[in-house]
Amino acid sequence: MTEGHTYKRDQVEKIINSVLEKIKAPQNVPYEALGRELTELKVIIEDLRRQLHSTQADDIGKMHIPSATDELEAVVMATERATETIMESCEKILEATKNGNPELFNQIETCIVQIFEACTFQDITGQRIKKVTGCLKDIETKTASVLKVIQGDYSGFGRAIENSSGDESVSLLNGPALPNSAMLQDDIDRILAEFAAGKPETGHIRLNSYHEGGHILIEVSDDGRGLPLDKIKKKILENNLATEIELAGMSDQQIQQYIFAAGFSTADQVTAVSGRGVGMDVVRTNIEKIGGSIEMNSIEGQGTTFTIKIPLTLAIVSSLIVGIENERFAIPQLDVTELVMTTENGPNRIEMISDTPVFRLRDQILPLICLRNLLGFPPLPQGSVPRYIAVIHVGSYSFGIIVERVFDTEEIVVKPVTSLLKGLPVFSGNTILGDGQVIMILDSAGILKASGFAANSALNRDRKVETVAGIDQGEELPLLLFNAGDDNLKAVLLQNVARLEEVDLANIEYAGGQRVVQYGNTLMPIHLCDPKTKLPASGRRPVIVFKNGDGLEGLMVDRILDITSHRGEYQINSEGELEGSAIIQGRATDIINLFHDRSEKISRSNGGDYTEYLPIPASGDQVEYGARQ
Amino acid sequence: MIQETQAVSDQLLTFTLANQIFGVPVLQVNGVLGPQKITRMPLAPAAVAGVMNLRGRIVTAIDVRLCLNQPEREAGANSMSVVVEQNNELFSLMIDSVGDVLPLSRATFEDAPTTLDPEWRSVSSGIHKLQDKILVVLDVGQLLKKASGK
Repeated sequence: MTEGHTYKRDQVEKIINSVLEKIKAPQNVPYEALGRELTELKVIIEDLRRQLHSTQADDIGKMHIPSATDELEAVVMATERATETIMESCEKILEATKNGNPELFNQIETCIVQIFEACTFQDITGQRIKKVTGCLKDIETKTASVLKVIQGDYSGFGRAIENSSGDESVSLLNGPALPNSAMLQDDIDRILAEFAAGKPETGHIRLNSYHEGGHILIEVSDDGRGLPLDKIKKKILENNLATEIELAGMSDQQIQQYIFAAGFSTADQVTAVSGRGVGMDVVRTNIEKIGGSIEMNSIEGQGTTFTIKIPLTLAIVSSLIVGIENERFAIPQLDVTELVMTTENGPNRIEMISDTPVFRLRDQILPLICLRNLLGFPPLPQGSVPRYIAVIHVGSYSFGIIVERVFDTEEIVVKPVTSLLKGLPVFSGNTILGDGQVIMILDSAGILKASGFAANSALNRDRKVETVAGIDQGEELPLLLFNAGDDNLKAVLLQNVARLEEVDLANIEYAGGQRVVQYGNTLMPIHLCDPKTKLPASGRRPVIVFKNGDGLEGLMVDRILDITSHRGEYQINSEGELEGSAIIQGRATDIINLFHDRSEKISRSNGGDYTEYLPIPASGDQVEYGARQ
Repeated sequence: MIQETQAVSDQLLTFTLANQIFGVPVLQVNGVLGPQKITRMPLAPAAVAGVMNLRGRIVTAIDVRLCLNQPEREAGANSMSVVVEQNNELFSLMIDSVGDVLPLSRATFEDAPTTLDPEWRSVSSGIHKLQDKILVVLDVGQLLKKASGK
């Protein structure tokens, strides 16, 4: 053997030893390192093969040699045969010279004995090498199989391995996934091919997951052929799960739910693993075991959607701990955009519009919710406790929560609220703090809902702030300013105003339980900003006339003040009484929603197209409102 | 011995509340607690006293007095709690004091009298005639339903 070979052997030994060491401790096998070493081993063996090729013996050349060890074996065998030939020849020489010159015979015998000795040694060496080649053969087979297994794992991790002949597309298609749990594209293809009967060639499986109300929701939907109702019905009857009469009274969806029943299968063929009606039952049982639920919705021919709902019981959420009196509450940090400390006076004060607190945050009006009032703590006189505002952003809606104490942020484990209090939207869960105390977790969206100032519109799933009749925020918004009830500035969107009238209070009549005036030849309902306001018996009052649906309605106010343009954002909420608030002429102003349903009689307008209104002067300190009587 | 246990149909943990003796099936009982620190729960029904931490689990405390239309416990009066498990949730029933575990036979059991206060009737599954007094068997499920205000 050349020096190079010896060196290689040492290396092989070293690698094998370290591989063996790693295999001995199987609980933390570093697959990557193992793979690397085995790959090195492979390189060395291939190198060895190349070298042997260059020193090949005659009869080796004719054979197709699959591996290096085979080659080595062949060399040994050839040597063995050569040795045998030498020894046979020697014996023949000895035999031939027996009858000749005894001196020469003796000399030849001595030489042949020496040859025999050398050959025997050669033979022993050959046998030893045979053992080595056997061992090498074993190693080679084992290396090959181990490498195969490990390369399989590699594709699961999405990593490539040097010299691996594995199909790269497999790892690409599977994406990053845990070992052994990746679904093969082949399986998906098979499912699509099997179940997408009568569908275009491309099938879609859509995965969607989101977080809602203390639950994680996972939606899996496909556009396949859906669940075959007739087949399910037939199976239900066959298995006596329900009678025909019961089935007749069930909705399609109720019938489809039977696929979750244990042992229920519509498969025509039952194999060792599939078609036994176990799968869906196991899925549901396991989801329910962790407190979740699975819903299914399928339309035959259009596809199926599964919604898996898993409680966030073990979810860890970073939360801001706030306090009222001695009670602490957690607000998920994700919802909190900033914290503002307020003062009694000065720029950072909380302003009141009627009883509603608002705050000017960088010249934007921020609606506020007082946590103390919301949670039913006894009210305190203003100024007796410091107040902070946690600015909350839910969807695209911003508001502030007034709290009295702010503690630290903590990583908390969300635990579900007791089943007795499922109806409380304000809390999304509770948790145990580091000091062992249980505190409630506030649900920002729930607070918004509970406080009622954001009707459904702002909390729709798409959570878009509505813009009124095509006016983008940031555009100039013409407003009609007026007083009604109190001294606070109020406004309506000028584009919604049909005309301005003045009504004699003596002409107000009552019809169908509401105030009306005769207007042309129809009755026009008259609304007040605050229905409780007592009107004097006589006098004239301005009325803002607007078109609601097909009819005209009027909003009676105390004084029309101005028309102004407001540029900038304000929150719009088309369902409630208030359309929003804005700073106008340096004062907090309520923008009244004309179409707010003030009586049950009036159908809600969907905010249509208002083309029929009198042109109103674009500016001017006092608007002239000419009576049209 | 075997015959005796067969004759016994129920083992009840007894407790007193407003001078009345009550019983809950001992198999439903998870433990008995002394006074605990309870976190008040704003907006919750009156009978829900709050939540507390029992060895890392959150337990909802129910004031049984308020469920049964009894006056609130006087300030400073000692209260004990019986912890029951219902649908994998723990509830702590706040009562005045805990008595004994009584093996009671079916023979002494009767339905609650029809004249019993409907509030009480709705949360009891019956009564046991003891020698010197009458024990009301509490239906934990109904009690919790009542506490939730449903």
